[in-house]
Amino acid sequence: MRRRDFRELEARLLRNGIAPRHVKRTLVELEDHYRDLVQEATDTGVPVEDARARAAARLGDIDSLMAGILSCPELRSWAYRHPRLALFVYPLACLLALPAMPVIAGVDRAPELARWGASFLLAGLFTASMLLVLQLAIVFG
Amino acid sequence: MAQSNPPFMSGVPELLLLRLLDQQEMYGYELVRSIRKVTGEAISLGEGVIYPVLHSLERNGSLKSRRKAVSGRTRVYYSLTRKGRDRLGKLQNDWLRIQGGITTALENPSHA
Repeated sequence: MRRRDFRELEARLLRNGIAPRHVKRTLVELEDHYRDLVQEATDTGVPVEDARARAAARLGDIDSLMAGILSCPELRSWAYRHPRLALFVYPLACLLALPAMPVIAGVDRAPELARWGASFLLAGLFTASMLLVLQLAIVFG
Repeated sequence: MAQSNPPFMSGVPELLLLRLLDQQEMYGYELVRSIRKVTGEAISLGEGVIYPVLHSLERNGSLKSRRKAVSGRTRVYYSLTRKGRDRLGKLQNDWLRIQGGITTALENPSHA
């Protein structure tokens, strides 16, 4: 199996509603298994290209891997299993999270916000002092 | 050409995985090799098909997993939980009961 085969498997699993965390972990394990199979064959003197072909055959083609995974409905994502509920819950969760967004963004960008605040304060003090000097000049001038 | 497994094999991979993991923690490739070894290659699993079974068993609490870095690679090792041991006991009993029944039927077809 080439890298693009694993990527195709990943895309097909996600399209069929398998939860992203299961997809990610399955791919990590399959790729590791594939490397072990290639290693096993090359250790016995099989040329690398043949070893890769044998490893791919033993691991199974994309369709058989898909069938095995799709036969476990419990691995499907929550939203795929309950689409109507997801349509209600996800927007509601986003709506509830909305007020927290500025706080989250503020925490995330705290150093930039602190610098911006300090600059704004300094600019204000400078402008105020200039106005004060001007005012004093007018009064005592 | 290797013989394919008959349709009544459903549930057997689960039993074998639980049995092997009852002895020690293992990762996928190691498990497939062990299955081939302990069954004398009588049972051939599509090697990639083992992972959804492992994930399902973990999801229902029969297995737990941990990631371990080995030679620059991250492997997922599985081990049995208490619930998994209970499940193994039940599956073993079911298997032995069915096996006994079928053996009796095959040896004494006139009583069937």
